[in-house]
Amino acid sequence: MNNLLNEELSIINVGLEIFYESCLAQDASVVQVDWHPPAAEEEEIDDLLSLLM
Amino acid sequence: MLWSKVFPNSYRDSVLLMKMAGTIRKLPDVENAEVMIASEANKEILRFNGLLTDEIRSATPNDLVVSVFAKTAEAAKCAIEKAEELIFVGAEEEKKSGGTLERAKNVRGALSLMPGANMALLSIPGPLVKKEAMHLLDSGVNLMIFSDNVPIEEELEIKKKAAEKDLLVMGPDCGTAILNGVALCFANVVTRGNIGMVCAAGTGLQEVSCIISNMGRGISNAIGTGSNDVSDYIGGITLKQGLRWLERDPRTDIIVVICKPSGDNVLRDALEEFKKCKKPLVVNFIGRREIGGQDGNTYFAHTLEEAAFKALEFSGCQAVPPDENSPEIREFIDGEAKKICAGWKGKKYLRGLYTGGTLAAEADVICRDRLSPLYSNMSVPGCIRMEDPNRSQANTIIDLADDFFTLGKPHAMIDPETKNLRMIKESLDPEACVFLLDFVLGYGINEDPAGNTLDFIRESRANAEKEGRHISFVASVCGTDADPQKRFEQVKMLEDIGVFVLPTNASAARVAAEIVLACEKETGHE
Repeated sequence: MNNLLNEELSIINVGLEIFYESCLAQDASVVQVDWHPPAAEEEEIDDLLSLLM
Repeated sequence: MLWSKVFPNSYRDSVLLMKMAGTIRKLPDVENAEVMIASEANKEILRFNGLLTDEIRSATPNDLVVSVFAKTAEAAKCAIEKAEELIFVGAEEEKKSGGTLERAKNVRGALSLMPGANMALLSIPGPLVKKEAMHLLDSGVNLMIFSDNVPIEEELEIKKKAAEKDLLVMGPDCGTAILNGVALCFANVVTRGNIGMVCAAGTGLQEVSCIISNMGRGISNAIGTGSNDVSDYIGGITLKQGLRWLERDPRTDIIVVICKPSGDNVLRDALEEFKKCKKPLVVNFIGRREIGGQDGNTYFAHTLEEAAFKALEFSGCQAVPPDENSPEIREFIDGEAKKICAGWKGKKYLRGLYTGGTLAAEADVICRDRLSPLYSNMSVPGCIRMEDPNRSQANTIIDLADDFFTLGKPHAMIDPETKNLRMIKESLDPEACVFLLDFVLGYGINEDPAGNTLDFIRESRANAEKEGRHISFVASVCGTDADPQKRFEQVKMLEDIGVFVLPTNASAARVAAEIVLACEKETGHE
């Protein structure tokens, strides 16, 4: 059973950095993804990697 | 003189770009400037502001563009150099300074850095959300999707997959949640306690959780669902899941639900779910005046304020909402009506300028029974839908966070520019006599919402005074003293320049409406 409401949060922030900063300010455990829109080729490689993993 | 520069294949998020543009606009001899991703929507904004050049016209959405309108070529050149420094040098320094901060290039990298991740926040362009969301769900991560414009069929796919895996998906278009004491996206620093919340209404969650916290009680968990969740197409998947989770949460004794069901099936399902709930439940179906009162375990409130105070009552707190008929408030209302009527003999109306959508809807609900006609850009029964959101008429309440105003721009709670400029425009209309404003605090929001509006309030007032008119400013500040912006400081700033600040949005709306009504009485006596 998912016990998210009673677990300490470990957060991945994909996008706006202000939300990453807010998590840090609250001493929450957080990783920032420096997201950018995928170029077409990158997306293809990514899809192939997903199939392999 | 208009200058621009394109930085190919560069990406920075829209809030950082907004801050950069703000810095550049303050440089000497710079009259206007923008730093944006060259999306078609942004090109339209640049065109509208006279900042579109041929170079930008041919840029792609993978490019970042800077456009500067300056008095001299030298000033424009300096501004573009500064922008370049902020975009590249600033980004590198930020990365270097974060010695202890963890960063990854993509979701796969982040999952390697944090194998036990249990929550991901997604704030990327809507059409690109599904791929990242599915990847994260496959890795067992719950989601909060801040992005809007996710195609609804993709939203349903994401939510169905999450339900199969017993994972939570808050959103898309979910701006606020508080889980296990952590405020996510636009949330406030509230006291922890035994009241749980499920909301399809971002500022609704903020207002109710802040009232509860300011009155000395607290929040266990507050789950956001996203606005589409309560449509028949999605079927309230997150709403029902949230209710079940809070019912089994040992720290939650009372549950508050705030939403605006758009479908009849989802409304019927929700009512069935409420009947099954064993814990006391307070529900506010925003705008639905036909549903009210106690039914078994469930109390149906008409406003956010009523929902908050009923939840407080269930938790043993005997606080009561502010009363606009108290002698002190009545004296203010009558005094303002006298000043308004002394300076303007024509019609007198209210103008509500909101950065929080649910707060605007609550103001609509309160004012629709008091003021007529009442126009709004929200579909609240009893209000007349504005044909053109740029043009107010009679009594008007505007949600400035609506897509109409924010396309390609940061949310109105991050960037108050749209609200400030609209206030100046309204102040030139002599029939606009009472301004009703919201100031929303919390993480992720503008660092000084009141401070960044003070000059515009002063200017609006000066515009009216030039013609001998008086404008009443009535406001509420949604937040707590523990928020990064500190509620008491924001309230003081507003009060110091003569804004009347009420403890809740509902009470501010009632007082603002009462001033308009008192003006009508006053005019009748003349």
